[in-house]
Amino acid sequence: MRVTISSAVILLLVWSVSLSAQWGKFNDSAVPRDAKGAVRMDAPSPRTPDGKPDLSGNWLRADREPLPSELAGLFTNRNREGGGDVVVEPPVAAFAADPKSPPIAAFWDISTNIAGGLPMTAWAADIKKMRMASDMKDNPDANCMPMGITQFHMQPQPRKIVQTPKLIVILYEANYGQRLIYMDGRPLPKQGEPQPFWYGYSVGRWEGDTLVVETNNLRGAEEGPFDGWLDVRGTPYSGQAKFTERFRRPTFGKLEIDVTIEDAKAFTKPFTVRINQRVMADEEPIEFVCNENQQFRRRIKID
Amino acid sequence: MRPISQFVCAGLVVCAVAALDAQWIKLQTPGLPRLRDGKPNLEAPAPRTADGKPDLSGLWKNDGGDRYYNNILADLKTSDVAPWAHELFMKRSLEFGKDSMETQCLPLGPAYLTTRYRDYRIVQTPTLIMVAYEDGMHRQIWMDGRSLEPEPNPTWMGYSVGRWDGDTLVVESNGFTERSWLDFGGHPHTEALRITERYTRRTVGRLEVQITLTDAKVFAKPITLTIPIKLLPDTEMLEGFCENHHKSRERMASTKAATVVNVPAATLSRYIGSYQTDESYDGMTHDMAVTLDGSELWFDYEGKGKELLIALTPARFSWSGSIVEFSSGSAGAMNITIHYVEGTERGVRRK
Repeated sequence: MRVTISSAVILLLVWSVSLSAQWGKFNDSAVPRDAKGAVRMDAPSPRTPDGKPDLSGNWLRADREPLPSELAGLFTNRNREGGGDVVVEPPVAAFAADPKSPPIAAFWDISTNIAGGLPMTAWAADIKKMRMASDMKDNPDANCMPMGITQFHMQPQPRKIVQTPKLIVILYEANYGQRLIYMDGRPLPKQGEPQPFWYGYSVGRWEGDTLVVETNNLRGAEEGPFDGWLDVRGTPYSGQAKFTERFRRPTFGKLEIDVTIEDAKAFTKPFTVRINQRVMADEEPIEFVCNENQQFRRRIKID
Repeated sequence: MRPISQFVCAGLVVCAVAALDAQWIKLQTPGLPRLRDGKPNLEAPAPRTADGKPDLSGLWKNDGGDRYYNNILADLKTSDVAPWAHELFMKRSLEFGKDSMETQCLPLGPAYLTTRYRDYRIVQTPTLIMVAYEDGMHRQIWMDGRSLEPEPNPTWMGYSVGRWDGDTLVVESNGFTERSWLDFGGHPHTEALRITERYTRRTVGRLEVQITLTDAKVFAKPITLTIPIKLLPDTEMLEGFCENHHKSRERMASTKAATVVNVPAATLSRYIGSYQTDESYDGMTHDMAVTLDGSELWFDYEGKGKELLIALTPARFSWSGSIVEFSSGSAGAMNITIHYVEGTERGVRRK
């Protein structure tokens, strides 16, 4: 049973990857190219008319991570090209390691690259243990729900950033995700004022060429089994959590997102991880309606 | 939709959405023109983008009632619909909509254009207009000059391209999956469906859309609807996620389909007329019309669009799960009683 359930989650992810290939390719005239027509990933990052870096575009996660122990022996020969034996990622080349980078966030377990692990409280450690003991069956990703900020950043399906001066939208192919980041100068609401949202309430501002987004009023793990998941293994966050994301586009092809999580209920001190994404030129995310054939919970007879 | 019906309390959707209404966020929407007292000036001229086009960005709500969402053919006759499509609509009505998008947490597809139960935010850029719905779905309208694909991969939200015709945004769409229903009642469409929308922002507070649906396999002629849309100032969209669960699906799927009782047209014709209910149900009177089209009785509650009444007995009818009952009073009077989950509404025929 254990293997069956894990495989169900994996199948969902692997499927997603093959789906992203289905849109016809088109040649985006706004993309910088070399003489042979290849996309110049190192070209300078574009700017909006008001001089801000323009983060608009379609993005794929470009980080590698080791094969998680749950999958050992199941998928070892798949997707090996590109240097890693990671089954949950699309075959996008990773960037050269940045020595100044915070630890790279891992999709399967966000703590993988954090020396000494995460500073989890007993509350958080218990929830993670419980979620792993039930083979992560309540992962919102597998249940067609919004899967949380970090899972959305790392999910193998592409996402699109639509940037306007007063509002930045991130559309996720996975589970039809949709994040709105208000850029019109409004303050971050007090914790507990708007009711907690799956995506929280996000307010952004520019610090030089860095987009700083603060998010609070999230649905934490107290709310229900599908809430407060940072990764596939279910490392939780609470309703008190505050996420600070710092987005930078150092070159045309690269997006760096540093995520800092402050959540005294779940972690004894704040921590920061990085997610790298590579631009997906000449292609678009496709429609992915997770609920169209949601058989996961019934098939594996978990309730 | 309407007060909750006896059979179809698609609890997840209908009940949850209603409850959320009470908790809207209040804030002063930055950038809105204001009157001296600080209230938003909704009559001010429509704003424009840097490139001089009308700016449709903002938070919007369908202000056109339920008429076309309940029945997209509210202005047509049954005979304007292909027989197979009418049969499928009848089947879905008899099953009280158990396989509708609403009960399965699926995107509404073309019905997003007619429903007033999904507020949405328009985000306009010169090359892409995006629509974000409060249920988490979104739609993209390509403004970069591309054409519609001749054979698009069918999707729930379709493929949309837009252009400016003066101050009107014209959006052409195709590529809709046949799995979506056109309305709450269950009228189908085919992959041949083409939709043209013409959006005009009259003032800060008012947007209007004229929608034309063409599907020669279903309708004898194109259908054109006009829907007023109002700006929602000084608030923000709330998330309204539909949590799908196979157990609730299975419970709904176990609802028994109604059996049609054949009632002679002569009997049905006795119920035709305009009715008005008293204030005992919700403190207001309500007007409704009963019409006969061939052998089918149709019900229009407060001008919300004709909906089919399915005969359960010669005098009791299912109105998408709520019960409409007729009874003769003294001296030729006809009484109407509507049974909802929450209570009973009573009225008499006026003419």
